[in-house]
Amino acid sequence: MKLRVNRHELAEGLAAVSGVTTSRTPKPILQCVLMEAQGDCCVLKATDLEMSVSFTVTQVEVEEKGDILVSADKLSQIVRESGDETLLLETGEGLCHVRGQDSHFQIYQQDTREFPPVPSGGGPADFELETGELRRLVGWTAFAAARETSRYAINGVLWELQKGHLSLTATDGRRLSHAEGKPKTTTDRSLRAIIPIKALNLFMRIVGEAEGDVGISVTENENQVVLRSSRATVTSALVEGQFPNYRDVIPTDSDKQADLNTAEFLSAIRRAALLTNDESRSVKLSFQGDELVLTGRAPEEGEAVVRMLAAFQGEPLDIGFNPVFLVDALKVVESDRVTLELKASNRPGILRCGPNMLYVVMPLNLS
Amino acid sequence: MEREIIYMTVTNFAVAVERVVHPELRGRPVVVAHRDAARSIVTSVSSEARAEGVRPGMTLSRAIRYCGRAVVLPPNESLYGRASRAIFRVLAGFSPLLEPSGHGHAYLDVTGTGRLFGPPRDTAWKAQKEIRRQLRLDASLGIASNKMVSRIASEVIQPAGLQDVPHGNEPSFLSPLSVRLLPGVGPRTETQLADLNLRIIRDVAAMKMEHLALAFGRLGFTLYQHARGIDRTPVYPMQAVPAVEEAKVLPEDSNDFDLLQRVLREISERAARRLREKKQRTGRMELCVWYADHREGRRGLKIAPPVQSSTILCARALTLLDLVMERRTRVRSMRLRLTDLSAGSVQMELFADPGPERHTKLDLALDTLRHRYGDKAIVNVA
Repeated sequence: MKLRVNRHELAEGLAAVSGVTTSRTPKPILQCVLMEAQGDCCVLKATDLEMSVSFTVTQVEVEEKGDILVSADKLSQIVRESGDETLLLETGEGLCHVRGQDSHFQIYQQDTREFPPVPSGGGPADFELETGELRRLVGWTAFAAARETSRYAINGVLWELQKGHLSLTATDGRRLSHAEGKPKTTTDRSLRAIIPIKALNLFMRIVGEAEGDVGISVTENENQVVLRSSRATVTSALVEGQFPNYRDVIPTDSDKQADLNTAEFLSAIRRAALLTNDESRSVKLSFQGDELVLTGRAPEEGEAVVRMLAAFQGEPLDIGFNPVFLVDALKVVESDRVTLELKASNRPGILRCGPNMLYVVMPLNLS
Repeated sequence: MEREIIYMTVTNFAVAVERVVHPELRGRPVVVAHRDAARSIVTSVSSEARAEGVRPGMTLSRAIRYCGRAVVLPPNESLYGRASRAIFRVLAGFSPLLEPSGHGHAYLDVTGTGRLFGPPRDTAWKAQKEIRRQLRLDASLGIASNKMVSRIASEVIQPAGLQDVPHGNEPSFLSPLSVRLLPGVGPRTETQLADLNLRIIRDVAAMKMEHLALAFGRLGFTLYQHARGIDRTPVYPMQAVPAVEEAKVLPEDSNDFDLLQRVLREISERAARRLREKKQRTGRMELCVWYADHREGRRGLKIAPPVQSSTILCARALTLLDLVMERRTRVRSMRLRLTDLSAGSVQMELFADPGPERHTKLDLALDTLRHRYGDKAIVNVA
């Protein structure tokens, strides 16, 4: 194999696949990146056996086709530290030579036949989404997914596609985020799959704004998902298990409603949360008339009271929330105003921004 | 302001406490060790047994060979703990800056208490007198400008007495003493020092720091300072860990598991009730079981999220009992200790089962009944 490659694009590709290679593995081969020089492009591939990624580098001149398997970490470091516009990569005598204008690196290469197969992700997508829409849906839900919890089924985002209608839901057992959207193109197939949060985050990191549409498909036996953009493909095993019946916990009987300015509400929560600590991680929201009073209290430290205007309808109510849960949601809200629907101090609240996005959050027991 | 530190120690603490409880042991050689195993380790030795060659850390069989007439007593940790706490209470009357350093040993920072109790020597004398009057224990006290010198001072006047090291006299006080009195110098370091012909502290103080660092690494820097009587370690006051503790001594020693479960249920319910009275939740539980042969078993577990429900605490305590009961020996007493107490609000769960809410209601109803009609009004017979 011999090719000349644009260093910036190669660095971008290596950064993308490095999200999968792991430094601590009993199989050293999984720390490597496979580079396949084919025609007018070079494809970088990496896998940790659960998740695989392939990234196509297009700004290359392939002088000799072939493939090479080298340490992803070492190659990344070389490419990152180099100051050259282009680099020449070639193989010979079990070595990978990386040549710049004033440098020459030789890295020992591994046997490419030992590298686990990386799914190609070929075939038509079950549905396609605009990149912006994907960002909106994933951004609104991914933060609410559980991480490292004993309930494995909620370590991901539930994707449901039915009759051309797509919804994403994530929960960590204390809050739930739900977004609905419309795919650009779709097949008749109905889908229900829990995509691991790691795969989604990796794909969102790789996919660029300018890449147009992304395709998503679930394999026939429904145990793998393929997320594909024009340059990158992420393949991952789906999360197995029963996602909780989330529709039952979305309140339908809220009788109090507050219309709030998003930025003001976010700022007020952040300020009130300054005087909370691990022992009393709660901010009390007191709604009365057109005023919302937020109170934070930390034993032996002090108390914070922040007031803001709120168009509130209903009986006065005091309710406590973990400020982190509210801040997480308000940070990704794109609209100027949000609506908070409440029922009682021991019942979940619903934060809505627009008709297709809602966030259910359980309060703290203030008693 | 120059610091004034008192180090208080009761020589052969375990033996001294046993002699308070059993005055007939005075004047006789006494050894504290478990009696049931030949390889038991001696933990405390009276001066009479020490004179015959017995040392702490020796196996019991060897100790008996050295001193056949020695009285062997099993360790009574709860008694030593009570005696220690009583001593600390006496010392705490002289200064709030009290740092316990094991059973029967403590540092007391009396800096600035001159107008209340007089010079440090007077304070030490008063403390010694008070310990003798209240607890019939003889303590030795060292007074110096830092912790290390005060400790060494108390060691050189054992078994009882007062040793005051005036400010500035630390190096001259230490210089003729053996290097083994310096903290961090064990038998191995002592041999290494002896190889360099450094046997007394004066020899070490005469060395340059670079030479000591070359021979002993980081310990060399410490040795250099200690040999000159320098120790800047502050006296750390006692940290009271908030906890709820419930214990019960069984009417008769027993290894009947059903009976032990009943007793544990009773004490965990009592502990849970006290938690609710304090409006707190616990995040950690520890169960300690004392056997009839004075051995103990101890296990703990974390509880997340923190709880105060009797039902949950009972269930967790029974789990601990399964883990802790590794022996078939009869049990004498049990103690349940709840720590990591918090009074903050509790995050509610979206998909929670209604169980915890029912438990809370049940606990509240039981608490009300017991408050009105007494503890025996309603009991758990499960």
